[in-house]
Amino acid sequence: MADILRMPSAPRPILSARAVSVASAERALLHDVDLDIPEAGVFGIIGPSGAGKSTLLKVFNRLLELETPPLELAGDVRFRGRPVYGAGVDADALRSRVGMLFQQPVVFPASIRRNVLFGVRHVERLSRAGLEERLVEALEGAALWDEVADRLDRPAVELSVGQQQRLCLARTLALRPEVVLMDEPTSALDPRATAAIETLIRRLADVHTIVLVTHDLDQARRLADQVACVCRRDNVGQVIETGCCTELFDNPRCPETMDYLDSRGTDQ
Amino acid sequence: MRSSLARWASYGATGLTLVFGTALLVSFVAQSLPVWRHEGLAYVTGSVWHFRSEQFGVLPMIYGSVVVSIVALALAAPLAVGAAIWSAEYLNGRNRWWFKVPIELLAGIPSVVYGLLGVLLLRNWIYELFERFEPLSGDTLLTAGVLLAVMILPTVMTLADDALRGVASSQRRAARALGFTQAEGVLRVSLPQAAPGLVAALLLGLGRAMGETIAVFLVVGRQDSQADYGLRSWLEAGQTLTSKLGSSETFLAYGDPLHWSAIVGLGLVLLALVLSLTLAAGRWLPETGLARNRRA
Ligand SMILES: Nc1ncnc2c1ncn2[C@@H]1O[C@H](COP(=O)(O)OP(=O)(O)OP(=O)(O)O)[C@@H](O)[C@H]1O
Ligand SMILES: [Mg+2]
Repeated sequence: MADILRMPSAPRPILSARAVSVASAERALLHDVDLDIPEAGVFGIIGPSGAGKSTLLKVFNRLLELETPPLELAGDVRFRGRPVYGAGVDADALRSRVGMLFQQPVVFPASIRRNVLFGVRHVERLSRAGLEERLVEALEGAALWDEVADRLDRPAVELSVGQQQRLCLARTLALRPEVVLMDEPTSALDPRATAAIETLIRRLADVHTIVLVTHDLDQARRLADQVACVCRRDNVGQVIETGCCTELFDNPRCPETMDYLDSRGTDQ
Repeated sequence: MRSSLARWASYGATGLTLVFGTALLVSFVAQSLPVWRHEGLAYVTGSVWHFRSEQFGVLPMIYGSVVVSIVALALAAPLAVGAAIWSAEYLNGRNRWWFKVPIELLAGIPSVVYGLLGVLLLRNWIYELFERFEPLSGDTLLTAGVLLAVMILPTVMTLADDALRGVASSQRRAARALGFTQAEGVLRVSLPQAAPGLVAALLLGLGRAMGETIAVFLVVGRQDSQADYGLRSWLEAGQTLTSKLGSSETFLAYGDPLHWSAIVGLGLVLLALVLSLTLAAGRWLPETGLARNRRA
């Protein structure tokens, strides 16, 4: 129901890909991807394992370049209309505006406070009070504040995995990013922690653009305003279709993918 | 059953080590008693070693050992850690191999070969480089220190590289995803997390420098007595505990109980220095986050 009400309305996409192809030394991983991701809301990316969803995500914040051995990229990627891979683009500054949440939470071996402020400290010059304010803002944004308010100086590794994932989200939110790329953020979590993160994602989507990679078709149904389906055709990842959820789910052009995802969804 | 056997075996090994170590220490102390009775505390504070007049002051050798080790570490540490950062953080697989293998080969060269190179080249270079300070020759404490720096460089570099590569790559990637440049990631994530391993690498290098004998022997000048302990003395001939122990005086001393005990005392002092270094390393390590990282 909610999906239908939240129709995409932004005229210009915040992120766009045109004829994007990615190849490793041995083979092509993604072929001729066209995508427009509208500002605000949740943009879902679904598809079977190994199709290239994570790779596609990394294209948008240039994390792709850090892969070893390096991957080849062709095509045009834009963030707010400006080329992401243009000469003179500061990739590091870009990454602080287009944040990323990984499949497994990666916390630094430091206190909760230091973890949240890890990135901000280095990107912005904030006063002590400013940092404290940002800390609370980020932890509240990640729905973690109530749980950790009394132990901000405890080691972050003491948190549960679900809490660690929200801590990573807080760390990203502390940078006040415009886009948050999420790579299967709930795959390591139990149903309750998953529900918590899902609520959170919906709330964040009011202000942020969320690009959500998921294996779970039901999750995509619940959260996404628009969905792109990445499938493997001729052994190369391709975006088969994009669209608003209901029409895509009811009348899919890659039924085998839907079957695959649906079966996964139910036996989980 | 199995585990209790393993437990007893490890108790046994530990016990044997303790017994052996204690026996060693006791025999060193016992054999060096005559010189302690003869010199008292002056054995470690005296600056003159002249066995014909039965004067045994070890301070020049302690000083020499400390100076050459510190010079070696001060020169080797930045180079070794820098090279390790380069190898672990910036080079990929194949390039790293080409970088590391030659360096590891250097670690296998016998120390006497380094000593000969020191005699052939280094002491002349040092002499010419510092000519305006008018050193008597190129055989100086500084020469020994520089030579030791070259010798410990491969070991320290290899261990530091291991320490850095022990930091999970997901940690680096998380830092990059927050907008850190590669250099900032090294500075804020890799180095702090590898710190315990880096310190261990440096301390091991220091221990190796302190224990090295033959290469130092060949270039240190081997002058027993020391009049001044200022910076100037670095450009003069000196003596270290090991080069003294390695000299022919050790055989000469064997017949004379007092002289012999003075020589054994050198070994005792060296043992004490190296042991306190090891203990310092052990004390320092658990507090620096190794334990924290393990849990993570
Ligand atoms: N750096 C790389 N070098 C070579 N091949 C790679 C690299 N990264 C990914 N691949 C390959 O690209 C394909 C797509 O990988 P990707 O991780 O994007 O899949 P995915 O859709 O995210 O899968 P999953 O749902 O299991 O996470 C895989 O076949 C993978 O082996
Ligand atoms: Mg993936």
